[in-house]
Amino acid sequence: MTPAPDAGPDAAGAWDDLLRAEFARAAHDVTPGPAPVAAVVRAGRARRRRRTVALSVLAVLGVAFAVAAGTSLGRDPHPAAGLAAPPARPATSAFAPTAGPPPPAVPRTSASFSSGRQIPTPVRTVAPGERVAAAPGWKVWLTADGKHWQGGEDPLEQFRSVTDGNIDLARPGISHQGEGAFHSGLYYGTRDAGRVELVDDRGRATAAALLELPGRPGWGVWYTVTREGGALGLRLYDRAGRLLSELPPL
Amino acid sequence: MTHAAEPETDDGFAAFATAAWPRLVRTAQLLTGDFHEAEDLVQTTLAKVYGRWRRIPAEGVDLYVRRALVNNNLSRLRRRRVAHLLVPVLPEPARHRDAGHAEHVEERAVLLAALADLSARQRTVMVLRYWDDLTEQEIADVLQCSIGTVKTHARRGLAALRAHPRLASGPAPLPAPAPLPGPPLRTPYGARP
Repeated sequence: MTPAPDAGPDAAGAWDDLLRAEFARAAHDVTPGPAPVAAVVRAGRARRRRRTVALSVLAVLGVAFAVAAGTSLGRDPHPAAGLAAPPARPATSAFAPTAGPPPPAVPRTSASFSSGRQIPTPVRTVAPGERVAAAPGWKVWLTADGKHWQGGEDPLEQFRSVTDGNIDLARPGISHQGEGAFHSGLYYGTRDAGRVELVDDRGRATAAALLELPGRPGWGVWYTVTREGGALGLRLYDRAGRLLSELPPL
Repeated sequence: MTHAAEPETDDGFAAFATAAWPRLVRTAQLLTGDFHEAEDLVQTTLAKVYGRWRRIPAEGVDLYVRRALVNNNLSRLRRRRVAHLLVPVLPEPARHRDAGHAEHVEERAVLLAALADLSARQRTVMVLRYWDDLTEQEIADVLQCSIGTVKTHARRGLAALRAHPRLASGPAPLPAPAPLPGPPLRTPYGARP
């Protein structure tokens, strides 16, 4: 019944007809129930409200993050402090969409090394279990075991382990858990993380905020909020702007 | 506080969702291979569409909804991929669903088994081409890629389907194409009333 695969244009047309019929048959093999319009509208309204609140609060969060990063500078100098110039993007742009290639690496000169000047670290250091308000309705916290987060429509705490053997802490890597507009994940295999970016299919990058436990355990958590869905890739850079790991979009 | 007046502000969304629901679920069923995931996917997609309903031009509703559905499905697959990477053994419900999925494929349609072996984008192109009956240009618009990319996905997807043992030499002869109940292939999801 199936057309011969190499019988020329007629066979190609027969395959098209066959596949159209098969797709239609498979599609009509299910009988959708009535449209849950009320539930959809309710969820849509909630989503619209969250987006409105999120957009208006993001700027505040950005400032708060900058302040937190700045205040953490004094008590938690990065191991690389004093080595190089600060990351090209200030912490205040943690949520701001950026475009174009990553900023060029800044050479680590002996002059800057000898200056002894501490540089702003892009990584916020948090205590184990310290709840971080990552976005409206979303909390993220770290323990020695891994990343915890909670929010959105699911009230349950979620967890990704760094100790169960599923990630290789010896090599730079990154993971992604996306829930609507809120994105987060682990980065690992480096004590010199400088930036994590989400990159959409048009090449537009959104920088993420970074969290680590005291002592630079070699892994951390990133999070950010995007305005649109779609295919998103991930890039992890070190503080000199070098690409350490990449998770391409599907 | 009452929301009695709010439906009036939906500007036809409820009517659109009601009309589009069956076909969207069927499209999602072909994209996901699982009826329940298909309904969840469409519900999530429509909720997102509702959030931007007033800003979607009437003539662009079909494209917007298709694009949202496809993108949400790709996001769903990415989340599942990450979960598979991070969780050595899936929780029981997930494992059970996957096993059941395979059985349903066996029982329901040979086609879904063949589609399951395609990449996500190949599968999407096949569904948009053979179920939604879109042209290559329309598929490129939905996927926001070039026509060349669509052609590549279509060629590889078609070759894989042709070579798939269940389609190429399935035990049950495939029925001749016949008029099917429901909307014609070319029917869009519906226009904004």
